[in-house]
Amino acid sequence: MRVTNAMMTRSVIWNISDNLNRMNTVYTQMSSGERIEQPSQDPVAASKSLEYQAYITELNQYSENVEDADGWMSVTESSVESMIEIVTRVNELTLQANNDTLTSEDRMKIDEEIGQLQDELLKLGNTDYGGDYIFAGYDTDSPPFTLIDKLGGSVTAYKGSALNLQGPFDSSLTDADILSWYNVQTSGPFTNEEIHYPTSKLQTTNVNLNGHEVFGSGEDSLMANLDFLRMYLGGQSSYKYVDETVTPPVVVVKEIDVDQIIEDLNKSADTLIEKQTEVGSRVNSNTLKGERILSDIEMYSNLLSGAKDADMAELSVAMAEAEMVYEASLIASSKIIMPTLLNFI
Amino acid sequence: MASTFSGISLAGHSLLNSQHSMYITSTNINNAGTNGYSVQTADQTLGTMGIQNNLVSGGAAATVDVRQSQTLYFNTQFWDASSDHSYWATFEQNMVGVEGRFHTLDGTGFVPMYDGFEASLLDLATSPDDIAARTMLVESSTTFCDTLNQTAENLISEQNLLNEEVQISTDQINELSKQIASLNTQIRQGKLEKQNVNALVDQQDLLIDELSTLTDIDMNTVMVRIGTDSYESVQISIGGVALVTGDVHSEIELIAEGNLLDSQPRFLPVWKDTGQPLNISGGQLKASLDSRDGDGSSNGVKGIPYYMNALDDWARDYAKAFNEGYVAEDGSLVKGHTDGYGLDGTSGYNFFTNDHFDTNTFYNQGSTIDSTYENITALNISVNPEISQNPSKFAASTSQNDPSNSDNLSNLLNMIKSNDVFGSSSARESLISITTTLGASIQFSNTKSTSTLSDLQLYTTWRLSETSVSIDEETTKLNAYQQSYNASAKVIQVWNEVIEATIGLIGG
Repeated sequence: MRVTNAMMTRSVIWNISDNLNRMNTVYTQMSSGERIEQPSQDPVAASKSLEYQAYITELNQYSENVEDADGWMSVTESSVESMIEIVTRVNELTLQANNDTLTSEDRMKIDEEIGQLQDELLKLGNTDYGGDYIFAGYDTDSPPFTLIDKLGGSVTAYKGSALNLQGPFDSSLTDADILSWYNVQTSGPFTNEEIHYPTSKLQTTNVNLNGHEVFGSGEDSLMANLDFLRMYLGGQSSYKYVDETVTPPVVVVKEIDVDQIIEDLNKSADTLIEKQTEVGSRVNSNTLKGERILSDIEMYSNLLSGAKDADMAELSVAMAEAEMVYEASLIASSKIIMPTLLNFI
Repeated sequence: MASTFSGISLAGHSLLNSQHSMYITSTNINNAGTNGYSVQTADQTLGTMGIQNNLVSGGAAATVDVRQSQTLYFNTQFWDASSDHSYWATFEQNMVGVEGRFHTLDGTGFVPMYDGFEASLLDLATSPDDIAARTMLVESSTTFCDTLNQTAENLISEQNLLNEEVQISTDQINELSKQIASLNTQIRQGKLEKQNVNALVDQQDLLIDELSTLTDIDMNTVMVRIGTDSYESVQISIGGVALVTGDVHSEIELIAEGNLLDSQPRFLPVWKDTGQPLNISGGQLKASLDSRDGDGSSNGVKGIPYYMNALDDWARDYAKAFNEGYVAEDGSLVKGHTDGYGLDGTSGYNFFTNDHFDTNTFYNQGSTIDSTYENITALNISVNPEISQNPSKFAASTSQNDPSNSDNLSNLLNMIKSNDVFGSSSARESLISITTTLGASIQFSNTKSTSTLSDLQLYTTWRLSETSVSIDEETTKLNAYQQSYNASAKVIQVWNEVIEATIGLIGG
């Protein structure tokens, strides 16, 4: 082929511009530390890096949710533990009181302490975590446990509805008074409202316990037993009680049975321990989940870095090469373009 | 027997001849760097000498034509490669412009903003009664909508620019065809007057080079009749219709056909005399038309309308599924935002809307749910102002007055993760696929642009090899002509002496 000066000049320009382009690519990658700036440079790597980036953002959020869940459940766990301690103390006091040698003054002291413990239980039932009442189901804005008036006394209510309407009532009250009070009050139904935190793509963590389950409802529930106990300590031997098994309900008189009280208190303690175990195992699985999320974050960070970060060692070699080729092309060009036959005539 | 002065006359001719050749050589050397210049060679007739009937007849070589090195073959190849290359290079450049507007990897585009919105939804799940988290959610959703609106606006302005490019390219084609036609006239007249028209031919080739970057062209040599005469001339056609034939060029005009995304008139180039649209397949003009109009239908080119439609469809489907719920794979209906309750116990608000319309205005736009959602586009999607002004209206709950009930938010989170709304991918994957489709399309254009460039370089080299000036060659020739000139001068001197001697003899 006939080769002319214009051809050489043209190809020198193309080659130098090619080399400069290559050097620019390497420089850009080195200075930004990233292999791709736009998806078109490597659509597959770009789509992967976007995917990994999203996983990481999401996992970080799950990790935060796991921590929040842990906070909520830890508070729950320690509240239930305090409740168990109180019930244990009540049990001790009951055994102590169930002794004929005790004077009525001694019993009054025990009654006073049990009254304080009952208040304490109510406070524990209204524990909050960051302003949210943890035993309140969905309605976390208001304290779930309140006292409502019961013919001169009071009964514990959960979200405005009494935990127990059947008694005990003071035996001095008339049946008519008891029934008319009974008929205007409501008890339940208590629904379980589970609060779930999203802690992975498909799973959620149930963080809450519902108050009515912790304290129980009905005549053998924790609070009712404490009422029985205090009646007993007040020196009464019988009480009135609304029998719901017949329609319409009727008022019956019953003897106070201390052994039954002790048995029911043990049942309440068992329920609390069961709840504590339940929360404890949720905390454990939540902790494991948190650890798994952290190791996933690490894995995806590595994958992300592999997909989009520039490999500096490789780039250094590529840059040295690009510079060398560029310089060589400049030197060669200066030698090729200059001379013609004219220089030698 | 030779005549007395035939020798000196012969030498005189050869002196002129050498001078002429030296003139051509120096013209070549002067133009060694001129773009589009074709090397010229002096065609000379052979000088003959014979002896007939004792008479010596001699002839000097004579320059009869200055031939230009030209090959239609290489030019045709070059022009084809040129329109191919400029199509792909322009298309790539246009789409890179669009990609830049997406800001996918620099953390400011709609993909990263969408991630922020999803993260704030997930954050609210643990504290649905937290006003700060609700405010964050409103902020991030507003930012996401704004970014999507901005992207759509950018696509529209890119499309308007391309519409202007169509106009500019068409004007350029008209201007070039006019000049080529007028050069045809000059070349014809020059030839009739036996002038050297090489410079005009070179100039015409340069114009055709420029034309070939704008559109694909076909070149023919045809006989053009003028009255009873006919002469040979170049004919340039686009898509089988003649653009330039001899002195005549056909005008291309722009008519408004259809609308751009912002309802401005869309220009379509047509032949002025027939009104038929131009049938072009290459060059910048085609690239501008494709990037402006390509909606990807029936496997066609994916230009701006394709990406705009993809964003619009996404925005519409997302808003509808988020507001109204969706049908899961198992056929069950998953509830949406309008079914849930806000912290203030209210219900029935749509979260996403168009043009910042409130709930009533939004639903009054259409008679059915589907026709209502037809109004949502990437350009106008926004957050219902009733919610953005009062974030407690965000419906995270499935029941009234239960601040920590986040079951409806769980429905929304399920929608986001679900593959049932966007075919076989999640909302996010579907959004990302818009940017990666563009990325892959640019990568393909880049490959085409690179391979067509190497074709173009190949034909450029071939053409230069045929037509460009080699200074070495010209220097060699210059030497030869100079020596030939010197020798002829010497011959004249010798003949002069011979004649002088002869005259001296007569006189003596």
